[in-house]
Amino acid sequence: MKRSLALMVSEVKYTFRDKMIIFWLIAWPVFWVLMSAFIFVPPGAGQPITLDVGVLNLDDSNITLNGSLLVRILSMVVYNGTKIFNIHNYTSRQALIDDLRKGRIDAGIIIPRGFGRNATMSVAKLEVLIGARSLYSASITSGVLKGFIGEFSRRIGVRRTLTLYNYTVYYISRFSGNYTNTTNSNMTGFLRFYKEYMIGIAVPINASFKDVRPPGLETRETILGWITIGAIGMVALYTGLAYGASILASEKEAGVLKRLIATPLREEEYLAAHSLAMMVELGVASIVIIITGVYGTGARIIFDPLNPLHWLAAGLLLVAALQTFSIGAIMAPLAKTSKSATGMGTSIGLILAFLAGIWFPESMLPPSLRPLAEYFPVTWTIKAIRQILVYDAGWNDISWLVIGSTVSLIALYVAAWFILLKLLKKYLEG
Amino acid sequence: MMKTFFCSTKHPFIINILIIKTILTVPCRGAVVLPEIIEARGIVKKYGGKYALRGVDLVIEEPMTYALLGPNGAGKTTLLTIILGIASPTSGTVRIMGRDPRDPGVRSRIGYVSQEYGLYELLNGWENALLYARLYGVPTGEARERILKLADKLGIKEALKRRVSSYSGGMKEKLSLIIGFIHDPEILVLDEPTTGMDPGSRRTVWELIMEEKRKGKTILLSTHYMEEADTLADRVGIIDSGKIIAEGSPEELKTKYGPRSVIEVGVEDGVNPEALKELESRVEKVLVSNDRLRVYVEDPDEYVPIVTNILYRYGVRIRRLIVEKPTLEDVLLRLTGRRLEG
Repeated sequence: MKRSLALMVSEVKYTFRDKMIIFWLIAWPVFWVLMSAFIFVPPGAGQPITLDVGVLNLDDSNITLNGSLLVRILSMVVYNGTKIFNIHNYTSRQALIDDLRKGRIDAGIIIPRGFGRNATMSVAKLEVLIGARSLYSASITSGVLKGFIGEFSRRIGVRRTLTLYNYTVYYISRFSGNYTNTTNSNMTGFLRFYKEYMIGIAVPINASFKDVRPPGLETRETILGWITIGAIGMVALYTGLAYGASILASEKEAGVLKRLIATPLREEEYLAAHSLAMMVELGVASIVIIITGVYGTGARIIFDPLNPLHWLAAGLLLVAALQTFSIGAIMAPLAKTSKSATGMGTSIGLILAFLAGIWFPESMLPPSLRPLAEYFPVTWTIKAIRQILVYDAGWNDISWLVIGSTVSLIALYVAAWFILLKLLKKYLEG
Repeated sequence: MMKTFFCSTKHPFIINILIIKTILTVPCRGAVVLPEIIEARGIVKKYGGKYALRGVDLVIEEPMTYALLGPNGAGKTTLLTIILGIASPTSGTVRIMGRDPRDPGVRSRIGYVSQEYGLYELLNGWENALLYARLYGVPTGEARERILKLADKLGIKEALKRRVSSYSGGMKEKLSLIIGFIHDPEILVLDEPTTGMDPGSRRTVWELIMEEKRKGKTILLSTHYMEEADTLADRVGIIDSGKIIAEGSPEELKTKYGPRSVIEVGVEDGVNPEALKELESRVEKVLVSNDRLRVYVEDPDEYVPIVTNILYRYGVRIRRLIVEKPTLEDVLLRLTGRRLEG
């Protein structure tokens, strides 16, 4: 064990003096955390968005419900304390379209002549133009406006239904006597049914919407917590894979392998030293990433030293390190040189980080790729860490993930050990 | 194979073997049978269908310096790595002090200096040396003292704080030597230890090796340099195409396989025919050209007085006398048909 520790210390020192490794281990994930925090999840993210909406109001209706009322209502819509629409008035269709094309506004609404009259008496038309100020904004804008116009439309429908109902009651009483007479209970019951039925025509389904998001995605801080753990997972993947795949080849090329094996250091101790080194290196990188996440971006990472589950999360980081090291080691025989091994490990690691639900949420992946995220052991480990440190989950929520991670680690590590020992012997013979 | 060793304190490390309960037998009163220090028998190593070693026997029974001489690709490094237990032979057996060379207990008694240095380039000299000291179980304080002493002798004390990536080839070789010597091993396996060094540094390393030799250590080295083998080795094994084709002390090899020694005598006014006749009757061969005589003899030390005496008796005036002795280079050339240097 002493010999393994001595070699591990040298290995860690070596790693942290290699500028290229420092870049991949520390600089790259820190860069991603910062970039995500200030570009993809900028301050204010997690709050409702405000859309810039251009309005061309051509309505000339001289009644209460008209284009001007719609514009006023648009400008007054507030969600969770945030104004949803920022209204810009236009006088020509062309100017509105020009600004949409230039990405100056998110959407345009053209209220045609007679809108108010038609909305009151028949069917009103409304032209909505969806712009795109960013890749994702079009679908968001479309969704928000459809939601608003749908709700607005329903409310007008209810109002019109109630007006129709009132007229119906008026004419029935005028032509059939006092229907409100308590003795005429059949009529009263019919009118109640009739009223509800008519409102049901306007609003057949009255759905209620309530935000019940995971605590981790409630605010920008918790979204950044998710990203911070994702960055650790990403580093674990590509450094672990690259390290596991290349370690023997690089020490063989440097001439160190034979020399080390000529000492009393056993082959098992040699491999243990490298496994330990990987854990220490990922541990250090994780601390730097978490500090950057928490103090540099305001990410919320829950850690209570008195909570054993939080310490389990720290242990799971080491599990992730060993899992990725093992996967890299299993791939090691595929590469002939340390350079090709590093390249292979880094590229596969990066691809997996993006496709296995580690850096991007599973929900954003195409359905065909979701099984990869579902059955990839490193994803289970990162998921468990997130559940603990971001969602503050209990043991029941993560038990299966932890069991899955541990069992897969044992299987992967045994396979890696067997392959590395075989490869070590092959290299020593060569 | 065991050899009988009559208890003495001549070889302290062998006594040590007794203490660590190496398999020993007592064949007679007052005598014990000790294993050979290095015993490699019938070593065959095949890579694919190609033979690197073809049944090599190398046995070192008592502390000495053994040099493996041979051209590139002869199998020197392969043999050393098999003796060290780093690589396995296709067939044959290796025992170091009667034990498996892979045994960590055996490895801790061997110092290895590889051709490839085996250094971590981004660590400094100290860090490299201390790592190996820890792997050999040398206490840090003792290791520091030893590193300083060896670095001082080899002239790289000041460079110890620098990263190895900034070292020259010779400096790396010296650091590699320090690492090989760090645990004061009983057996030193040195694979071309002075390659890449300037002549001055080479001499310094030779002195260091001689010092270890004087301490009674067993040194097995491979080298490209004839002078190195000649100066350091008690016994030389000439290896070619995976086989040891000749073995003996440098003198034995030169006598057995080298050309005859030549006593070249420069004379004034030619050689008297009577003197020439007597010379021819006493030695193997004499060649005359103008004012120069080349006398071929087996042992020049014995024949120089005889030749000068004959010439003096016949009044031949000697201008100069040079003795040309055979070298290991000559032996190697004769045995392998190839030269190693130049």
